Amino acid sequence: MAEHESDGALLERLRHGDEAAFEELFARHYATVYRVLYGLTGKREAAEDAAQETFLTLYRRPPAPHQPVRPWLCRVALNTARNALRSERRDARRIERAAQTPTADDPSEAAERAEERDQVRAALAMLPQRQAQLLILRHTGLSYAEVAAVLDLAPGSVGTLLVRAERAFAEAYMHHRSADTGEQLPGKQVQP
Amino acid sequence: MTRCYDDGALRAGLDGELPAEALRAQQEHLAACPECRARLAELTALADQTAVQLHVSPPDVPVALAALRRRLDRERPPSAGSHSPYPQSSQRSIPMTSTRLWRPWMGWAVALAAVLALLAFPPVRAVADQLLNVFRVQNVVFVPVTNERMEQLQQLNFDAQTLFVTPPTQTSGSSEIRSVSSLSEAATLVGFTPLQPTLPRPPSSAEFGVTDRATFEFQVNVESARELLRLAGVTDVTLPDALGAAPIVAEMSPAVSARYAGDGYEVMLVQGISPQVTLPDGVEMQQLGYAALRMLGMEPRQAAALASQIDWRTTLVFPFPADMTSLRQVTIAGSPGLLVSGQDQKGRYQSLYWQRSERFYVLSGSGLTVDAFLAMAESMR
Repeated sequence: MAEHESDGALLERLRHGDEAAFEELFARHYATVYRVLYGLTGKREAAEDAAQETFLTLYRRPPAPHQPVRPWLCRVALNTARNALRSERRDARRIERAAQTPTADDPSEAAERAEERDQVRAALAMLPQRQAQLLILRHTGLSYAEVAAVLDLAPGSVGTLLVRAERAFAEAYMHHRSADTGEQLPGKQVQP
Repeated sequence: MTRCYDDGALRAGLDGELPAEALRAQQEHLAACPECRARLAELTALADQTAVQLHVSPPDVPVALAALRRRLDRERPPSAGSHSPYPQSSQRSIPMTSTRLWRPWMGWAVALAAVLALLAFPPVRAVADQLLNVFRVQNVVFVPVTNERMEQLQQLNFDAQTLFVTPPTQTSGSSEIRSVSSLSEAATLVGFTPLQPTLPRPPSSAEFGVTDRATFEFQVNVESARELLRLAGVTDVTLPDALGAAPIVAEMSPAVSARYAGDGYEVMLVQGISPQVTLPDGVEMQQLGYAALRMLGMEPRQAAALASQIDWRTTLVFPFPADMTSLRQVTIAGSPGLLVSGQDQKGRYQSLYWQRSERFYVLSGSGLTVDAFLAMAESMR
């Protein structure tokens, strides 16, 4: 039943107090919200906390049924992350160094990944905030229309802005990479 | 050859974000334009590289949902409290009024108490019977209780039995359910026309019953009630002697129960007129309401404000549990209601209480979606 229901129908049910509808919306969109928040915060715990806040908002104050849920959730997520980040300014580089459980068997490989992740974080932190948000939203799988809705952009401008953001990101990444290790831009897989 | 495309348009084509017509035009151009092809190749590499760098491993969604559930359990706003701090008798003390007759419209939260019993997941049948009981004997003025306050109250060194000079006793009538053959027969017995829900599918069986008028009486031991307040740390209100001067009389109006079973579902509906409670003279209802609110952990100012807002003659306020995430306030045909929904081994179940003027309704169902269940409740107009 639930798989065929639109988000709007689920929202309508949620507004009638239907727990199952909430759980279905959670199942559909949690991963997206989490990944956006991981992109923004660079920390698994922070992303989980903010994602929880985001869904708590959905639970308590769901949007009108006609409103697309995913962009709405992402917008709430951005606000939540902003507030969370504001409260931890001391961590200037916003880089997660040790919180992750390495998935690799080889500790040196895990360390390498952690290092790579730090560089990704550092590069993102160098971009203007909205550019970083645009990159993260799109690479989390939001459509241009959704990205535009979250960031209040004209949908027709998303492609151009995206290319610009990716170039800026690649440049920032390379800058960090060479500053840190002297290497050139790598093509290594990042596994946050 | 057509005009060259800018990066944004090429990227949109790459991302499948162009309308079919525009995409075809772009592909035609690309076939003829090596420069645009080279730029598209560069954009593709850039996009792929960024995608890899920004890749985030998927989270464990069920674990996250469980964590959220725990959080909701902890943080349920102070509009919640799981039990009455009043004695664990099936009959509870009632905030009194000097008004002779108090006809509570069981406030929307009443169902809650009833529904609490459901949470042990008994089958609908048993559940509905419990609800029936609760509604016929339970009249409480209530408010939210936090979990913390609940624990404090439960740890009080107080014997609930001492709260009554005479414990609640049935003085007339019967509380047994009498079987009848149809709703119209029930109507003639109870004196009102019971509403019939539109069932999701035609039922294969339907049973009806009525409960007759019944009267209960009990008398409060004021000293003991005062002691209870003292133990609970409520020292800014004094209960009047009048509270225990005469018995409190609760008259239960007749009610109709209906049970329908059909293809994969079972539904139980109880409807009736709210009970009428007669209270001793000389008791100021608002003061007692204040005491009750304080007892439940409300701050003095807030309690005073609420106690003065509530029309105690017509409103029954009830606490609902802080730890129930399956509980939601809903609107049934414009009237507030409380919904409990969940799932047990046998499937999904729901229970709903709502009140429309003097009539109360308790609907329980199993084997239905929440949607179908609410639609059924809405159909009763």
